[in-house]
Amino acid sequence: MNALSLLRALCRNVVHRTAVDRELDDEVRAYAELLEDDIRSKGVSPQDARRAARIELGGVESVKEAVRQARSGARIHSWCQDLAYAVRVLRRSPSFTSATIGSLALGIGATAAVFGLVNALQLRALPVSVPENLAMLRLEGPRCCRHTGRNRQVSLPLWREIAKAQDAFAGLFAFADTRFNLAPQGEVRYVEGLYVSGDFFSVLGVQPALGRILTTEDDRPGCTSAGAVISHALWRTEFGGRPDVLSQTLNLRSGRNPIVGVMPPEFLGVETGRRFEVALPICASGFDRADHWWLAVMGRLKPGWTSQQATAHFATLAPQLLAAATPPAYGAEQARDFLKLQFSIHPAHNGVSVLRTQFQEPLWILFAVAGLVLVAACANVASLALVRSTAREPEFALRAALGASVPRLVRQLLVEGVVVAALGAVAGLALANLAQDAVLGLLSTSTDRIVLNLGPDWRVFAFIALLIGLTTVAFAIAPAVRARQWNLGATSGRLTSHRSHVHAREVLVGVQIAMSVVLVSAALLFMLSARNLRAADRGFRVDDVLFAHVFMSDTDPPPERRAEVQRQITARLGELPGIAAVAHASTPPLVGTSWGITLRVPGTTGELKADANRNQVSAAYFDVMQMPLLAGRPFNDHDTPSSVKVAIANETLVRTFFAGVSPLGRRVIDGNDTFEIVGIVRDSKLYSLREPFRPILYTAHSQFASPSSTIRFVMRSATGAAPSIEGVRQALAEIVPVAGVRFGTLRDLVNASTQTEQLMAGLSFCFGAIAIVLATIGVYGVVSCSAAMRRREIAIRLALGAMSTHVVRAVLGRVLVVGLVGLIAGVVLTIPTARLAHSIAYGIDPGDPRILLAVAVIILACGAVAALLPARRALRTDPLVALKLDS
Amino acid sequence: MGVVLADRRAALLQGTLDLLILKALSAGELHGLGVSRRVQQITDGTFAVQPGSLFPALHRLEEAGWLESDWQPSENNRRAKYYRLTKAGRRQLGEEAAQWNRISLAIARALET
Repeated sequence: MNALSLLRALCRNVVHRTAVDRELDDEVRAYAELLEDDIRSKGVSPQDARRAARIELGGVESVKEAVRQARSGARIHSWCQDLAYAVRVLRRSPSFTSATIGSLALGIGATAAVFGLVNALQLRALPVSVPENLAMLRLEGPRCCRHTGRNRQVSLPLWREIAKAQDAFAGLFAFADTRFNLAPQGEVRYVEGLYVSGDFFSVLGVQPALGRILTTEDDRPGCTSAGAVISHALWRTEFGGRPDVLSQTLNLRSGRNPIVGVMPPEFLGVETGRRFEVALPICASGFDRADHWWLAVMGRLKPGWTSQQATAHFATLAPQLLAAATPPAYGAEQARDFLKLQFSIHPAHNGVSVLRTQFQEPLWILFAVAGLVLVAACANVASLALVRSTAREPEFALRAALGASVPRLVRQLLVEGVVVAALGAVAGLALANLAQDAVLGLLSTSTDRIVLNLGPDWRVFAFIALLIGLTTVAFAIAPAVRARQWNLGATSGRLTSHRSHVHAREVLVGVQIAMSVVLVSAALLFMLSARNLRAADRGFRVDDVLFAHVFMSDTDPPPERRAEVQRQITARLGELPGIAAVAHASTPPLVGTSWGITLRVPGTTGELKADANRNQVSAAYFDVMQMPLLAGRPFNDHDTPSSVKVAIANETLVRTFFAGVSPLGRRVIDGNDTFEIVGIVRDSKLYSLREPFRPILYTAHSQFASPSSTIRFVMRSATGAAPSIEGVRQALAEIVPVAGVRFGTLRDLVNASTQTEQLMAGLSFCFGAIAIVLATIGVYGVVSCSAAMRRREIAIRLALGAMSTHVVRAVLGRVLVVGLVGLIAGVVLTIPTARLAHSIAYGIDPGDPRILLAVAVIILACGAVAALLPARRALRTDPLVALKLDS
Repeated sequence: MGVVLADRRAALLQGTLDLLILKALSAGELHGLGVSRRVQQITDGTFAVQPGSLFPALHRLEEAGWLESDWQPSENNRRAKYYRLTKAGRRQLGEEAAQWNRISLAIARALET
């Protein structure tokens, strides 16, 4: 067969379709004429000849259709026909079309939004070449030396030992996330930053957009004014995208660094959910202490190496590496713990992410919830399609009678389904975009911006295609199942087909109700959790408390003047109008820092040793935070560096270390300091609101001579007075003009601390509301449909004097049964799924029967309203009118 | 349905119809009705080709490049579309005829034993 000739024919058929068709008309007509002549030439009368010719020819149209089918490109043409017809049909019933597309947009939008987030956070690989062999190193073992912050694991000496000795990675690099202050003085202007080892960019294989990458040459111990690499975004915003950026210097609070390179726009770093703006070599940090655990280690495994093999390799190296990097300051016992640490290697093709750990579970739960919304939406669409297929049954019967085959008619339905689903998907994607932006906005705080690459990739497209396929099936399946009944005979007995449709719709309503039970339960659970968390006992006052963190440079003011500056600021802030009390603390609550210590308590039967937290505070701290002292005394002016060191314990510390017996007068030891406990204070949250109360040892700031360069002030404004951040800002600018300052209210921190729960509550509320709306529409539709169908019967019964309650019962009976079955199915489905939400539930048991009870009440109420409205309308029917209408 | 046996309404293979049309046109160009009559004639009336099979087959063969067509006046002065074999069509006829002979020989032998 000649491919070229076929191709030419295909082009002709598709492009010059009308001309080809006209020629076919001519050809068949000519055939008919010749045939007629032929028959007439045998001596038949013209009329009989024409008739005989018609008979021999058969149906002219069917001959032409057969030719069209045989032509190449016939399929394309018929698909186009189906598509055009589908669009025409859908445009003819705008209310059906918009209801269907609306339902699908909600379902697809919800699912696609969550999938986009899952994809961006969990699945997407880093935008570097060959991300598959990236792996990261983690330290595991006793708590002695690990830091719990973002990815921080390894000290600089340990990193150097690892880089020297290891054999599993083809390339290895270390990095630490940090913030750089772009404002040389005054109020801080942080950008996200990275300290990177020399190999960072070369191992990742990132090519600079401008200039060069950092190399091992840049990362030399003791480097001063090291070169900086900046992100594409910073280049555009700070330097207007000018090419002369490479001759410029970055003026950071920590020093001046010449800009040596600009990164490509797609490279945001190795932490998913965050981006970096400035990268400096590790040497520029000045951190080289052996007990400073601040670096994360990542690299590319050698070809053929798995992470298990690499872990085994590091197991053999561990004793040697750790021995070489043991901090000299560690005592014998701490060193022993340190040497017990183990290395493990984990795949890291999608980078590292704190966000991922934090949101992994919530996201998968949301994904499941969104899937249920989609199921409810599909049930709605199927139900709508069923109603419409009843109306279209005569059309299908007519087309079948004219010779359309059942597969062809089903194909027509599928094409309509694809059109509706695709339109729904487009609308859904627009919704999903809005939703994703809203979610990221919710999660980001002013200082902690979350950046996720939400751009669609093949996974998103495949997922959307899958959704379109599923919803198309939902759209077409119910009418297609009935395809066999598409004949003109069946449509005359339409009443029965109505009935079976109603049954199918009742099942769908049951499905919707079951989904609603699950979704509304989830919404209630998450909303109650969020409320509980917000209302949870924090142990300190949240409202009217401001914080101001002051970051002084190492030299200005000089360290010996810091105590003086601190007193000045405290006094000055205290004089401000509206400020009732001022204090400062080493680790105020919820700011993301904690001071972990190993506390030792000598007792009669030996020494008790356990983890605790320390907070070094000024005397007024408990007053500002309104944390009541339960026993003993607060810190006072007599607690000086020369007096006996004193401490105040919180309730949990008393419980943990003293078995609840009053510890007043007892001694506790932290490192080289021994404290006498002089007071007990109420428990309060430290790191986050979710965690249980930790044992905290408060020590008096006044007893330690040299304050650090960072001072964290907390202030309580007088009740009713507006928080005067502006006054605080001015006062600080006068006393410490060159220091960095960060302001905020404790309320902001509390809100940020509950953001996961708020997010879950907000989204699950939306999903639950969507489900309820869909189910209500479903119930309304099925009741009004069955009421309309039975109008005649109702009219007769009413005319014969039936009680209206009986009539209502007749109309509602089945729906009630369906609703109850759906409700029970939903409850049965909810009980095991609620357990999945255990980690997010706070202060409420996911299986709490009160939730299910409330859900049942809500859904029954909505269902009752949706069912009673059409039922009442049926009752008001005038029997005469109804009987006339139907006869 | 392809070619219909004039007496018994049995369906034959599609390839048979193509072969018969190519054979019918091997003697010279013909219009649609001419092809139909010629097939009837060369098979001694065994096969009658219905228009519903003839036209799709003609168009298919033309699209495959084995036939070409143009409009000409017919013998009784009507316009008709005339089909003729192309070079490729003539080659195809040879191949299909050879294959048919092989098959019919084999089947004949099989039936003899």
